[in-house]
Amino acid sequence: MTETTAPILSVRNLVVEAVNASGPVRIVDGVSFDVHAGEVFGIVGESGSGKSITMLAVMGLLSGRTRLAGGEVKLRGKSLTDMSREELRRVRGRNVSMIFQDPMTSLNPVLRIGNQIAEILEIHQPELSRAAVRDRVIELLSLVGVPSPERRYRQYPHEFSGGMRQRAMIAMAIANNPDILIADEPTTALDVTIQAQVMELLLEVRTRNRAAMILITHDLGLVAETVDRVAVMYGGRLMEEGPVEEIFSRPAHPYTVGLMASRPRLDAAPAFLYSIPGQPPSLANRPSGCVFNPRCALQNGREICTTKLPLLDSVSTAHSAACHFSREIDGWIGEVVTADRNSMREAP
Amino acid sequence: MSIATADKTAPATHRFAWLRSGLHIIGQSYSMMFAAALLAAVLLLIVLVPLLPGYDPYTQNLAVSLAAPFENIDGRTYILGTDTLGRDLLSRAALAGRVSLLIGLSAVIISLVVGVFLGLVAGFFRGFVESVVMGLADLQLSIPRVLLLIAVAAIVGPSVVNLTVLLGLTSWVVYGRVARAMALSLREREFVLSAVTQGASATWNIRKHLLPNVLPQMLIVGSFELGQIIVFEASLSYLGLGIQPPLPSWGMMISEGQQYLEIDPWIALLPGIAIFMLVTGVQILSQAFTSEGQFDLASPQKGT
Amino acid sequence: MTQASPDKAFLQVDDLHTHFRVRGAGWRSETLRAVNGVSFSIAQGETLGLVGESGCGKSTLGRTLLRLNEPTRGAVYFKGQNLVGMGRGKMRAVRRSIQVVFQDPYASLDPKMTVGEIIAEPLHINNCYRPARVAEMIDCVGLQQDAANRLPTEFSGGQRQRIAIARALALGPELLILDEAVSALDVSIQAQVINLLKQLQKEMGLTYLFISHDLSVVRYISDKVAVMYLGKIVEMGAGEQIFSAPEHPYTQSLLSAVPIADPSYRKQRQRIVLKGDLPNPLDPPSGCAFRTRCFKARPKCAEQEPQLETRATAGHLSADHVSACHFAEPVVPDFMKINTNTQTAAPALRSGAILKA
Repeated sequence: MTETTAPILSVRNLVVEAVNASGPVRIVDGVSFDVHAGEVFGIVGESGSGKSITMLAVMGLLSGRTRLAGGEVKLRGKSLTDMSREELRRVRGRNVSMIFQDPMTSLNPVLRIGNQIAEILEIHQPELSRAAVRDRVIELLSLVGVPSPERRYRQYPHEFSGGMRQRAMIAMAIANNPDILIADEPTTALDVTIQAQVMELLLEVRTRNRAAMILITHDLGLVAETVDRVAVMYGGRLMEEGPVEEIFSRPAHPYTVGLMASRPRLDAAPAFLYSIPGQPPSLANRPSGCVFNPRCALQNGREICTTKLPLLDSVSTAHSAACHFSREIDGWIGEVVTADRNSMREAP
Repeated sequence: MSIATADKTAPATHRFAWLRSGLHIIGQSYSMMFAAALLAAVLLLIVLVPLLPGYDPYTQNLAVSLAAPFENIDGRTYILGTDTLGRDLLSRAALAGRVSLLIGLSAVIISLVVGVFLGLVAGFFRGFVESVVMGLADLQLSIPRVLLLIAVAAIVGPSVVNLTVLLGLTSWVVYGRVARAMALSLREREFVLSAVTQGASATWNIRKHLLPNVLPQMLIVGSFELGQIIVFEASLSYLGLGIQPPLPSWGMMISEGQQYLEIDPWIALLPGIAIFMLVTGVQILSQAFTSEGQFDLASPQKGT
Repeated sequence: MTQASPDKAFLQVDDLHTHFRVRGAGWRSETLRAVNGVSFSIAQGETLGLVGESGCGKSTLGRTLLRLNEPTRGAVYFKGQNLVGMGRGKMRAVRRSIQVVFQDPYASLDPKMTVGEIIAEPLHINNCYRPARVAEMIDCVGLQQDAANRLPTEFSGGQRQRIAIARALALGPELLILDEAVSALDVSIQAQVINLLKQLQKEMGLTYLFISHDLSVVRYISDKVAVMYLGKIVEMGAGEQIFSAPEHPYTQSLLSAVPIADPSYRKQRQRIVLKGDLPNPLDPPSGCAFRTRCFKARPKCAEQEPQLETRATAGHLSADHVSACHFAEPVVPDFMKINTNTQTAAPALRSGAILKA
């Protein structure tokens, strides 16, 4: 839980722009959050919300048409945004490591699994002998539950199943005992039974290494089950942030509520599914005021939503939301209104 | 990351959207504009020069043979000089350009039609048809084209039509292979499958879904092939297998000029430069229509 | 000729097999039994949810019903007519009644056609084009009429899926095969499309085969549910039965693996984490295909293949709940037992509280 101790990772006012034919477009807009030692921090959002780009920016991995346009990222008090490429390279894989969604594209198909993990160790711990590296790799593989690691060491990625590949990626990510593990949709490409295996492993190695973890996902279920604190992103901005129990029990942003209500649940069979009307925003044509206002049911034509950008404001001690009317949320959830049939047929 | 979703005001002129955005790209880049200028210069030469009075490409005048560019003899300026027989090089180069371009374009069209047809049929039906078509392609590639052309020229005799048809029929393989590869992936795409479930025939799918998606790529391949074929025709004419004198083609002219390289290099150099300008222009410009993933089938616009 | 099906079910599938020949080691060719003896039926107007993990054969099954893949053997009776072995001409007529919506809204629309052309295509194929029908379809999936002149690339994923649904509905089908039709969509858009599908079903009396790996969505949309594993149905029954009293260990572990969006469940769930991966489908285990990962496996499972039948041990539940396990036993899933803190908003949402729109 949040303590007064200094955060391990601190992100302030991060702005990322994509360079388009028609000029720069803000795809991450003023994102700030802290990650504390040993906690699991979740970033949840739909595609285009900027959740993955935010973490790429944190890692200094923006490339091509995206660039960091402002803000600061501090790792244990040291600014990553001021670092040289060389210094940043040393941080990556050592202090912070990342696990991506698709293990097939993250692994080099022509190199043996063992050698790929060994490479990470050799880069950051050149003092290790070859035998020591090899032993450590085999130890890591057995740690992540890859059976017969000596044999698997010499295999190629295509000889691994999807779940096994993700295990190998996790072995790579924890090889140098990083302070923070960033997992970007680590189980989205996996089947649900394999997802359960991989999430269990990820949480276990994290606890063992006492690392903090950032879980980026679109899956509210995964967030509810694994995360300590969560941030909800939409249209490149943070909508809400707080302890997971509070976000789920007392959501303070209409987008969060809509997201939770529009997902069918295994433990309930409601007669009607709420759906957030409209389409995700075009970031090149960002709505004025609150990004969510064109789809928001709470707005009710009130002018402030279209004119004034709501800032993250605390709702309780650790919980904040970026909505002008977060106090009205409770009443809104309670209301049970007969379904407006037309609400199913959204105008595009 | 999808940055922009639907632009609500987009007009319904999509049929020529590729052309418009292609032109837009040309306007954005200096190399594109340079290529366009090269191409325009060649086209102007070909179209306008033969219209000028007094410049007949066939008139011989041994008195002015091997005149240098801009040399003024008897009150007449030969802008690009003359050849050994005293024929005006500028008007010969222009006529040769017409011949080369006509042969090149016709051959490209013939090979494109044959190649796309065979490739799509092979890729869509697979099985026996595919084996036959691909076997043909391999066979075609294993016989040197020059040898084939020598043999055929010996039998039917060299003429512009024969040459064009032969060049066309021997260059289909590259279209065939690309079209087949694209058809293989397109036939598994859901829009083809759903047309099948709606009762569409193979002809329908090939005509309505495969062809429109393959054609832009094919035109790009064609633009590269055009250069290849013009150069190939030039080398055939150089060997005496292509265009027969007195009709000029750029290749012909190079072959005539090579004997005088030391005395008057212009004779060979000019048609060489013209070929270079045309081929470079076409190839660079064709990129305007490939970039931005316009026709890139493999990567449909997709969000993260 | 038309063969009469045993009963007059709307869609009845009997012992359907779809096998593929794949290149094995050397010159040997091996047989992939993607669909390996599947039987089920769907009543008109009903939704059958077909769930399973990737590689279980659920999509191949859907494609076989559409005759995009030829079945190796078995029968598919659609309104009494056997589609297997049906001639071209007759099949063409039946195809109008069975349509499909695929998963990927980006790959399923021809990028070279306008939305209007896409929706008109099935009408042109069947020589029954009417501009009014296209307009009607655009309206019925909730798009605006000006969409007709625009290209699919101008639309977002959810809107594209609406276009694909309009195309599938243009011919007035009775059976819609929805192959992961909402799986690629974002949560907020997914709910819109699910609601649209439910509404269209009600209005048009459509029958759905809803193929999905997403159990939560299947629970919401299906009347009946079938669970597939390695080419076979291992359990089938009414949605209520499958989700509140699953009998097959595979169904039980699937249900226990799905994360639930409620932190108060945390540490209260008894998750069954399965061992290992899916076995090689070219070389499935003897006896019960699930035994290599099953927590209940005993020697009998390797020797004798369990049949899909009603289980005596299953107690009072109705006869159309069938499962293929020697040791089938209904177990109430953990999430049905947990008492959540009633103070939270999550249960309010859980009970289906409708937000003011």
